[in-house]
Amino acid sequence: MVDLFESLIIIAPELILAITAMSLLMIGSFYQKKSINLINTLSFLTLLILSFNELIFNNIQIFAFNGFFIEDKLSSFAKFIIFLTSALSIIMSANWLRNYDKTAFEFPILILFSTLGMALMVSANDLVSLYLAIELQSLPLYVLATFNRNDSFSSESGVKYFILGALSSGLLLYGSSLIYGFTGTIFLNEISQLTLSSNQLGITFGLAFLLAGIVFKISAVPFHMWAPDVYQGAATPVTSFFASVPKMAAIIILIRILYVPFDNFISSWSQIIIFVSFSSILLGSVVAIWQKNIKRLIAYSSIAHMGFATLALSTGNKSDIESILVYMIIYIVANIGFFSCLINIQNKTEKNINNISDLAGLSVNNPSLAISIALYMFSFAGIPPLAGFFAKYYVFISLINEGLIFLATFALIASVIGAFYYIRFVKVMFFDEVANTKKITFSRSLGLINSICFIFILGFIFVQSVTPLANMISNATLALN
Amino acid sequence: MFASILFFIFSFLILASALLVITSKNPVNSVIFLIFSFFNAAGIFLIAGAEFLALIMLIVYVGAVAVLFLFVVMMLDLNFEELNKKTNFVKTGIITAGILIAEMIVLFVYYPEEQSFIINKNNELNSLTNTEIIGSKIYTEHFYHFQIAGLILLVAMIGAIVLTLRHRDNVRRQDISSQVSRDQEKNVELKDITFEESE
Repeated sequence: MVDLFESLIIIAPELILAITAMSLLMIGSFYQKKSINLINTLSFLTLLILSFNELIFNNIQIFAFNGFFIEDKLSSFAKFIIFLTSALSIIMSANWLRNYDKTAFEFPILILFSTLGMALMVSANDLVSLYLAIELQSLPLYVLATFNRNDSFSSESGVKYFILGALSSGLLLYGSSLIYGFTGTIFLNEISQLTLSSNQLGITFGLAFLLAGIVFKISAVPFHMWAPDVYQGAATPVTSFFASVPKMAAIIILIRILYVPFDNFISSWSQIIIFVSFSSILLGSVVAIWQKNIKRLIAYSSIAHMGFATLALSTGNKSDIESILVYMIIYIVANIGFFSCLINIQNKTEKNINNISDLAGLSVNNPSLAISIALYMFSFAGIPPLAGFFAKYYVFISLINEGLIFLATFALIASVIGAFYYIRFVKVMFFDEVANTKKITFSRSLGLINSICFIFILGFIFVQSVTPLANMISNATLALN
Repeated sequence: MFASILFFIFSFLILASALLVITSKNPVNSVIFLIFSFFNAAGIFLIAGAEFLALIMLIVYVGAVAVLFLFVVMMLDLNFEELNKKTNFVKTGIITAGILIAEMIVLFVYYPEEQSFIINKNNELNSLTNTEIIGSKIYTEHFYHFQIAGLILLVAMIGAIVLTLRHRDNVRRQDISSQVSRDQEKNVELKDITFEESE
């Protein structure tokens, strides 16, 4: 039983998260209305402590539970980002939740369970725990999408997400069963040794289905259809959660699936990845031009961003993982920053702010909000001194180093097209006629989050050189070699 | 030989009934065909020697899931005439399926080699039945998976409660503790009644 005890120590952060979630569930169901602030605070603190725990204690490579669970620098880094962004999401949703329903204490608990699923997902080392972790991650997301029950859009988005999510799980399971059937093992690291001696056709089939299931989770083309409806229908704090945290987990597991078990199949999967990223960038950049709804537009923008992030995977070179990780961090920070502004505006105005045109005159009502949103939009578009430029720069550099000039040129053109709708935000906020001149104030927590994201995006070069971020990313990249 | 004939019969019946599930006009018929395809899938499991899976398939899918489907179909107020109208989905579906089949054929041409599935048999377990192996593996080696599955079920329960439980203010609920703690002194009022003589 010594082995079990060691495993429990390795899995301690996830264990603490699960126990916290379950005990908060108990507290919530006994104290109902009185407990919502307590539950919010405790779940925020747990996630924050766990994220710094990942920062301090990270191992080179350890297996737990008979090899089903892997802890390495890549998974530690991913968990650090996942826990931290989930903690921020809980803070960002607190005000909205208090206005919406004081008895809805399940909201932070569902976020905790989903975060637990993501943490297990990035540490999965076999096909069964990968599937189970993906289910544990997505079930709370379906509920969160439907959380605003009185809104028909929200219910529709939940049902859509649930049905399409079940379909993608089916594809993933089918792929897993084919891979297990043709290699005879479920462990990711054992599959890589067996792929060459097994039936290539069967494994290629399995790989394609497995990729379809995971690509659904990052909402890249051709499995993107759910994203605009779900983002639009869900409540804004939920959308902010959807757009940031699950994408990180899914990108990490995509990297792990491609480079650990299917290292010998680069020629097979790089075609799939090139198609996925190519079409995601194209669709995300072009279709977003006609969108009027803010959250719908962000959905298309996130599809395009996922295309850029996976573009660096198509080179098939392990060192390019670094540029994907940098891209994901910058994308997540800009997203959190933008949504902290949007949630703040929606909390403080009585009128529904759904369309881009509703933001008109924001530069008069609250200049700091307008400047923040403009900065995030410029960063999304990739204007030079901001972080978004470096994100795209690293991806393009890794493409050019591998000789994929055509892809890099195409992505550059698409990002110029995409810049149009980001800059439209700036035009509406600063130059359109003012509809109402009611001042909007910043709430304390959202203002703090916004200023942190603002500094990160504005001074990314300094942040990169001062903090250990660059070091962590390169360590995480080396974990797969 | 006999097993492969059975396999082809069962798989033909699965495909045929699955086709009928999506083409039949009446949703109740669809559910019945779905149950039929579950039965045939259980038959295929039996041929493969997985008797536990076959019976679980029948108990879970036919006994629980399909009955639930029937309930839902009967409770839904469906407009059959609306359902029978032809939609564009058929065309899109045929095109997508055609592309998929074409891709598969290309793959088969590209990799013409013939290799069978790897059968990873563990000889020490041969003396046990399937049910015993599943039981002993799931609670020891696959303990980790078992625990995650438990968490998934917990989340499903929370989700169902969050989405369906509604607190209404004007509903009178039974409050057992206040009922039990009622006592005679507070709740029973004793009055002396004086009888007046009637004239």
